[in-house]
Amino acid sequence: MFKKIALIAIITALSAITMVGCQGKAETIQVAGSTSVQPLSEVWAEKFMEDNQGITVNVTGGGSSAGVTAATEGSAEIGAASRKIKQAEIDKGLVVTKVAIDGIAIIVNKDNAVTNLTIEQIRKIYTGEITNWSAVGAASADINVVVREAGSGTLDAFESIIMDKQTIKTNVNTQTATAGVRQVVSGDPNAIGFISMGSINDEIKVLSVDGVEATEANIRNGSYTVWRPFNYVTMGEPDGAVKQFIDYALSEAGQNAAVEKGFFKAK
Amino acid sequence: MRAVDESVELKVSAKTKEKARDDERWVRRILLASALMTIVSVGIIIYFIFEAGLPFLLRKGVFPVVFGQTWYPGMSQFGLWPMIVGTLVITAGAIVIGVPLGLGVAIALEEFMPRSLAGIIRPAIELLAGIPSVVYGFYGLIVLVPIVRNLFGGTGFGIITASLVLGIMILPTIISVSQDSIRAVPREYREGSYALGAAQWQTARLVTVPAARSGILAGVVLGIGRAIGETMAVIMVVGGAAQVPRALTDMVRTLTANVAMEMSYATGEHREALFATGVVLFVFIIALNIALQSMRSKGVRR
Repeated sequence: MFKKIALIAIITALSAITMVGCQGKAETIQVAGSTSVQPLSEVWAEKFMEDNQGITVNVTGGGSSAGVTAATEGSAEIGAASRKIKQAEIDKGLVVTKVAIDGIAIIVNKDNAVTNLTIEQIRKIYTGEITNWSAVGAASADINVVVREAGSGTLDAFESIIMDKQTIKTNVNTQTATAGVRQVVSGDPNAIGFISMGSINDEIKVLSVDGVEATEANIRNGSYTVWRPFNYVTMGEPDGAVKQFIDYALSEAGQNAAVEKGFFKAK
Repeated sequence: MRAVDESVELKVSAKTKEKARDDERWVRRILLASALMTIVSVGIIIYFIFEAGLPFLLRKGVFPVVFGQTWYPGMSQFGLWPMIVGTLVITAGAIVIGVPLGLGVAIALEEFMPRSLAGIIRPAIELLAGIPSVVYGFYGLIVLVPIVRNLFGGTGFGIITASLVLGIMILPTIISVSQDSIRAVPREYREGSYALGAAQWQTARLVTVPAARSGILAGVVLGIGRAIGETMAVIMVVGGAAQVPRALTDMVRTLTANVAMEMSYATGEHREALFATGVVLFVFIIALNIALQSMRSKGVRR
């Protein structure tokens, strides 16, 4: 609760400062919420402000739930959430706009015989219940688990989709960037890791999950389940500068920027 | 005439003297200001680290944070013990690899090597000191990690690789400081030893090195300081697993790595915990500096 109050206080203070600085004429849009969406929002904000002098877009983190709360209580015009919005939240009058899709690929070394894992198996590998590749149908070898650092959006996505509130074991190789995870997995025949689907390349092998190949098409037809939406929520239908900004995010240029960041287009 | 001339000369020199004294005063002020700047910057850094980290430590309790076994920010678990152990183990590893090698090089350069060869090796060591740490890290990641994986098993990341990289990185420090203190041993010591019929190696082992002991120790402590503070190279080869290691092939995480890896998107309590990591690191460095000071003063007394 204190954290929420502090966040709201900071946001209010910041917007107050900006408003005083701009003296009425200029408009400020506050985007608060998921740290996974934050880098993408920042790119959009930067390009949007270039084209729309006089509108300021402030992007802050705080987490998906804090973003939804900020939008509900009016301390931010846009709340960013890297998860589905609950019905109870929508009932408060929130309008949800999907702005991008974050697909997660489970990757192994090219020399690894495994081609498919179930979500259950992936979870057990990451909790430490399964520690040998022989348990999932490959030659016997210790599984070297690779993760991203705490605070990473990709780790957040992986945990929320795969881990089902269980904790990841501590004996894991922790990398601070997608390229680091790829590097480790491509160099170690016994490694497993996860990256954003937009960052797949041919140095590594992408696994199917529950028998479904990790492709954009399979996300869209609902068969590949390791993905999450990036949502913007607003109190009521967006209008004015807020609508302008969201329209920009959904425009050809905005969606291409999302693809460049490693995400998929919203539609 | 002569007398007048002299008085003029006297006047001029008095003026110059006064000007010189004025200059002196200004230079002294500027130098004092620069000296104070270092104290002020240290003071500001200490203030900010403690201001951001100490409330967290006090709220959670120093004991549960410092000796807490689990670091899992997503679940509000902020135990620093794995990182403290990791830092100590890797530093010890770097010392085991770097000190014998560095001391050996220093003795060789000062006591055994012909001038021409030393003239090649010395610049090479200086070059070693100038290589950016990220290059060491990259070398470790690309070259050492696969070698260690094939030789020792495990992932290739972890204590062994990080100790190797750090052991090489602290070499220049250890070599140059030990070299200086070996060179400072009076010639008479060696000559006396030779006069008693001791061989070159006996002299080095039994006379020169023991006489240079305190300086060599200071070099080792400086090396430890470098090893504890190193961040980038360590992050790249250490694996970053926040666990208390049980084997030399295990991955670990150091205090510096903990801060650097998770700074970018840490908010709220997580961020405070990283500053608390900084506080613990700071205490480490202070302790080291006190050890260094006491060693140096011992050296003077001898």
